[in-house]
Amino acid sequence: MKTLFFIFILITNLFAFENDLVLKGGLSYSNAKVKGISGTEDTMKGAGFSTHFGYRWTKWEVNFSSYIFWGEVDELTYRAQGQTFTGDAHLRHVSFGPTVKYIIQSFEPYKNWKFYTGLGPSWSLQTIKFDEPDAGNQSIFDENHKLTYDSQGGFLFFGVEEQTKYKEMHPAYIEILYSYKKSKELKVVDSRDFTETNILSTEESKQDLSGHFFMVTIGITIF
Amino acid sequence: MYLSHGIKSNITNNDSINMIQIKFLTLLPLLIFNNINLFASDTRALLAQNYHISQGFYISQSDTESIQPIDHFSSPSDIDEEVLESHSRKRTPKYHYGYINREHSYSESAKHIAGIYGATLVLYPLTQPDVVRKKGSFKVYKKNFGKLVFDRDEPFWNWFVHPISGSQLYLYYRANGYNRVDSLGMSFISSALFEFTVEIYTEPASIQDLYQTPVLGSVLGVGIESLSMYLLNTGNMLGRVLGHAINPTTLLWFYEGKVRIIPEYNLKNSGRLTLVVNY
Repeated sequence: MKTLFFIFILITNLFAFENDLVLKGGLSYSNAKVKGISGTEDTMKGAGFSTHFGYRWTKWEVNFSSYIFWGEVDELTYRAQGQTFTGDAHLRHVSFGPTVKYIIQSFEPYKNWKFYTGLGPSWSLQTIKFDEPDAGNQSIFDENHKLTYDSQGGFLFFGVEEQTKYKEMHPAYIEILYSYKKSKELKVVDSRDFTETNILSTEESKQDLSGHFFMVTIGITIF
Repeated sequence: MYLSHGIKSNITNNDSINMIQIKFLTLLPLLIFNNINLFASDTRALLAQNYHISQGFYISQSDTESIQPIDHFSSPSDIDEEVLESHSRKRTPKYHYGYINREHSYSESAKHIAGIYGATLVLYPLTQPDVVRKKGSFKVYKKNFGKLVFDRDEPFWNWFVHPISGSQLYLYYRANGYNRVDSLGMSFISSALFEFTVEIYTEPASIQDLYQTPVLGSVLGVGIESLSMYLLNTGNMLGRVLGHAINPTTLLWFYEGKVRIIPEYNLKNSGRLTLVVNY
């Protein structure tokens, strides 16, 4: 029985391509708990996509990854240019970072599919674009402004991926990602003219915006 | 050199004006079955898996990018009139469009990088004269040199303009015979040179642009590549116009994947396929 199991592992290992550069991409659904200042927080649901480009060995993979999604956050309190204000806004989130991934070889939940896990640091930009201002809101910020937060954090992910002999078979993967980020710097941008980036102010923004982000991605190896 | 994705050829540039004629009696039923479309995916896979042709071409399975597994094969006796008729309904295009993957010397790659770099030096001030005039100066250049930041540009630039330009960069390298991974790599080098040495005349290099131009550009480029090849190989004029419109490098002189096919065959005893490869 042990021999049979060993042969089975050998056979399954034959089906995975290795020592090759890969580009992967997928569509994502995200659910995040975003925190503003003064204890305000909102649950955000959003959609987006992710890409990974890197090198794959037998068990390990090193990628440069990007996660992007869009959503809406309501009734969060922000601080910028000495003002504190509350509003509804669209949130755009983009994060980049190197990730290390380990493919667990010893177990297959389904034929030729294997679990993997990984982690990495992340650098992100979160853009808050305001909806129309509330009647009672005396803020100078409106739909013509956006707050852009430079944030830092990390990725932790777990997934299952198809193991194929050639990457040209476009193996698929399903991934669940957790990421925590907190803001470091804020830039207020006047967004009236989309052809020009007019930065109005730059200030420190330690933890003014932070959040726990969960993302489910379904993707394939593109090449 | 690779013809399309699946067929590797040992033709050198010295043979470029030769017409390579392959006696292919054994391949005749196969080609008829696929309406003389030598590059149809099933045929490609069949060729890659089953045949070695010694006169001018040979086929390598290990170097292919798009071999599809197949589960059917028709021997000559299996081909019936009904099958022939259904396949003869397709148009036979005069040219086949595809991509040729081949090796490149360092000097050739350096020339491509230099050519694209020169083009960006000219195109950047031409396409964004206001930005260059208002924000650009050598003082700004010095300040931005070596700096890498998150830009605050609108999504129009980061999610549309940069991926579109990245896709055309990727397709430029594909048209010049680079495989997909190498095209991405070359796009990354070209894009990084632009970000770190040209665009810094007006703004610092951007993390988003550095990543998204080659990576999202390549993802988009693969889609454009597939759609344009489908359109160009439909054999009708509108398809060709649309195919060239979304993938303009297929119209330019350096595009290496245009192959003229002149099939001559009869069902009874012999046949001949003539390929003209334009370099």
